[in-house]
Amino acid sequence: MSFDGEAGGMDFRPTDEHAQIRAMVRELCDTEFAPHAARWDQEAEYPAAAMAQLAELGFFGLLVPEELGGVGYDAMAYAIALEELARVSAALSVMISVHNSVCAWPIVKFGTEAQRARFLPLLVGGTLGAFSLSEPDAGSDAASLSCAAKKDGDTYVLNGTKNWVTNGAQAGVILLFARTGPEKGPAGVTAFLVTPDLPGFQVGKHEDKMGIRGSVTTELALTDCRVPAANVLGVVGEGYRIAMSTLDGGRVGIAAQALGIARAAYEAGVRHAKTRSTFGKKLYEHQPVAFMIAEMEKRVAAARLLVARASWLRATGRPHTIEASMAKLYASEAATFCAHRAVQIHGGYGYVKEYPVERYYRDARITEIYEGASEIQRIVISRELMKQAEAAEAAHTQEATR
Amino acid sequence: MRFEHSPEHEAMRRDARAFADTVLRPVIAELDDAGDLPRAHFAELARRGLLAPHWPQGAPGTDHELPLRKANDTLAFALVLEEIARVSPAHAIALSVHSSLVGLSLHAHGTPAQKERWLTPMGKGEIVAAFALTERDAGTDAGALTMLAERAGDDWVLTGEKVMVTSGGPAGLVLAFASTDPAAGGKGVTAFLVPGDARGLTRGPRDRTMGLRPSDQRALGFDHVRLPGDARLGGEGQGLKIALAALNVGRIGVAAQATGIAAEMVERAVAYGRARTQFGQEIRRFGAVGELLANLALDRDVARLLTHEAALARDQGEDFAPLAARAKWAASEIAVRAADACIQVHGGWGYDVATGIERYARDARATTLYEGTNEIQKLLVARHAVAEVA
Repeated sequence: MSFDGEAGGMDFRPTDEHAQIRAMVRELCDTEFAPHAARWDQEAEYPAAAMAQLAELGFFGLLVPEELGGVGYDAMAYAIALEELARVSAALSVMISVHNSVCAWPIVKFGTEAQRARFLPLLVGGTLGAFSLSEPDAGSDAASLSCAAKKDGDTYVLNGTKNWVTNGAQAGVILLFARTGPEKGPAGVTAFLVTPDLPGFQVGKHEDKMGIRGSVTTELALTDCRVPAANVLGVVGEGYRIAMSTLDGGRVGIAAQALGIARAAYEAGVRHAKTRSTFGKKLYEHQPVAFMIAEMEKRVAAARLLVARASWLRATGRPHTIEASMAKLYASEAATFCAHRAVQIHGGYGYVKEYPVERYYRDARITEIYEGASEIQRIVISRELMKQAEAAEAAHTQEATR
Repeated sequence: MRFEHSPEHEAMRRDARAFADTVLRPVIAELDDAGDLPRAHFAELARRGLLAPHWPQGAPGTDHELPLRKANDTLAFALVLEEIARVSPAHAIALSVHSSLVGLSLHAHGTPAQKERWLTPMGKGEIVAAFALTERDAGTDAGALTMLAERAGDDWVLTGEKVMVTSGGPAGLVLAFASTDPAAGGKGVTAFLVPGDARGLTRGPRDRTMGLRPSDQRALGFDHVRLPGDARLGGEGQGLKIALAALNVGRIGVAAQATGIAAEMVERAVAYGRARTQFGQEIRRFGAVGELLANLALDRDVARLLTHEAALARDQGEDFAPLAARAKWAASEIAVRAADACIQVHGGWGYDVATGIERYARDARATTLYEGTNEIQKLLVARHAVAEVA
C-alpha cells in the first residue's frame, strides 16, 4: 500500500484509503463478529471460526509486505483495523495485534531470507503467532529474564518457564526470548523462533482472566527444548533490542485496541443516556451525566489523535518511541475511564452481562498492564524527554560555537 | 493525515518564539509586578507578520508589507499564541481578543467602510481593540445583558456598564453588545463599534486580578454614548450570534494560550529535573519526579493536538465549534495542572516569585473561566456527543 503522508503541513483528516479500510473493517465486525462477542467472553471460547475468517480476509498478514504474501498495511491502516476490531471484541483485536505486531512483523524486519520463506507463508496462511518475553519473575523488568538457552552444536537447548503468552495454546510460531549469555541484563538475551512441534516444548496452564476472555493466555514450559540455531532471529545477544523495537509497534497496536474499547464504551454510554429517562428528562439532560459524556468524548478524541500521530510517525519511518508510549498510556487510561463511566451511566444495567459495558470494563483493564504497564510508559516518556533536552542543548551549544 | 508542520508554519513558530524570548522575556517579571502591556508590542507583532495570520487575504489591515504573510490560517495564529503564552499568557489573551474576537467579527460582519476605518489601524497594531459582552449580572448567560441601545434619530445611544473588559484601558475600539429590544432577550442584542474616544465612555479603575496582570482589565461605563447609525456591526438583533461566533474562535486562542503555558511548564520542569541533585542524583531519576515529567509532557501534547485539531477544522471549513470547546476545556485544565506540577517539581523554589513559575499558576487559572467557563464547554461537548452517536 502506498502511504501518502509526505506532502503539505498538518492535516488530521484520514486519507480516502484509510477511511475505506475503516468502513470495511467496521462493516465486517458489526455483521460477523458483534453477535458472538459476548458469548466468546462469557464462555472463554476461542473464536476459531472468526479467526479463520480473519485469516481468509488477510488479517494474518496485515504487516507483511505484498511481495511476501501479506496485505502490506501501513502502520496507520493497521491501527485503524485493530481499533475497529476492538470496538466489537477486544479479544479478537489482541490476538490479531500480537500475531501481526510482535510475531510476523519482527520476522519481516529481522528475519533472514530463509526464515521469512519458512515462517511468513505459515503465518499469513492462518497459523497463529505469539510473542513470549515475560516470565514469572521478569515482567516489566524484561532484561532480567532467566529462561536459559545453551548452545549445543547446531541447536540451542532451552530450559525455563514463560508466562502471559497470548495465543500460547494455538500458536504455530512463537517469538521467544531466552538468555544465551551468562551475564545478567539485556546483553545476553537472544530471540528464537520456536514451534510447538519441537521436543521439550509444552503448553502450560491456561489463565482464567478477568477480561479478553476470548483470547487464550498460557504458560509455556521448556524442558531441554532443542531449537535449531537457524531459528535464532537476528544476532545472538541482540534479542533485547529486537524485543524493545518490536514493542514500539506493539504499543501502537495496544493503544489502538484501547481506543477501540474506549469508543465502544463511550458509544454505549451515550446511547443509554439517550434512551433512558429519569425525573422526566433524558439521562443526558442531567448535567452530571452530560459531564460524564463530555469527559468520555474528550478522552476518545485525544486518544484518537495520539494513536494517529504515533502510527503516522511509524508509517512514515520517523522516530516514535515517546509518541507510542504516550498513545499507549493515554489510550489505555481513556479505555478504563470510559468503561467505568459507561457502567456508571447504565447503573444496575451496567453491572449485568445482558449489557456489554461490564465486558468493556473488564477488557479495558488489561490495556494499562500489558505491552508495558503505565508505569513503564511513564519511565520511557521521561527518559525520552531527557534525550530530547540533551539533544536540544547540544544543538544550542553547536549553534553558539559556530 | 500528517503530523508535521509545513516549513511555513515552522518558520512562523520560530519567529513567534524569537519575539517572545527576545522582546517579552526580559520584561515580563517587571510587567507582572506593576506594568502595562506595552502597546508597542502590538505594532511589533504586526511588523513581524504575527498579529493576525488568520485574517482573510487582501482584506483591510493585511495590505501592508509583511514577512511570512499568511491568511485564513487559524493554525498559524494558534502557533503564534502558544509561543507568546510560553512567556506571557497576558499578551496572548490581549492578542486573541484583538485579532480574533474583534478583528474576525469585523471581517465577517463589517461594511467596507467599517473595515477600512478599523481594521487598517488594528492590523498595524496602532490601536488595540476590546470586546465588551460581560456585565455584572450577565456572564455565562450573556443573553441576559441589560446595557441599552436606543434610537435617537439616525443615531444610537448606549447606556449601561460592561465589566472585566480585557484591554479596557488602552482600547482604541470597543466592540460592545447592547440590547436594542429588551423584550426579545438574547434575540434583541446588537453589536456596536465604539471608538475609544467616544463621549460618555468612561473607564473604571484597573481590576486587580490574580493573574494575567500585565493585561489591562477593567469595567467600562457607557453614559449616554451617542453613536452614528453606521456604528452598528451587523444587523439589529444579530449581536449574540456575532458574539458567540467570535467566542468560538476565541476558544481556540485560549486553548493555544493554555498549551503555551503547559509547554513552558514542561521545559522548566525538565530543565530543573536535570539540574537539581538530591540524595546524590538528578531528581528526574527518581520515579516520583519522572512520573510528574511524563504526565506533564503527555498533557501538553494532548492540549496541543486538540488545539490544532480545532484550528485545522476551522481552516478546512468544517464545524469547528465543538472541537474548539473541547480544546479550550482540555487545554485550560491541563495548563492549571501543569503549572501546579511544575511548582511541585521545583519544591520551595517553585513557590518563590523570583523563579518565575508561580506566575503561570496564577495566569493559567483564568483559562478555565473566560471565553466560556469550562462547565459551558462540557455541555457543548456533551451536546455534540449526543448528536454524533446515533
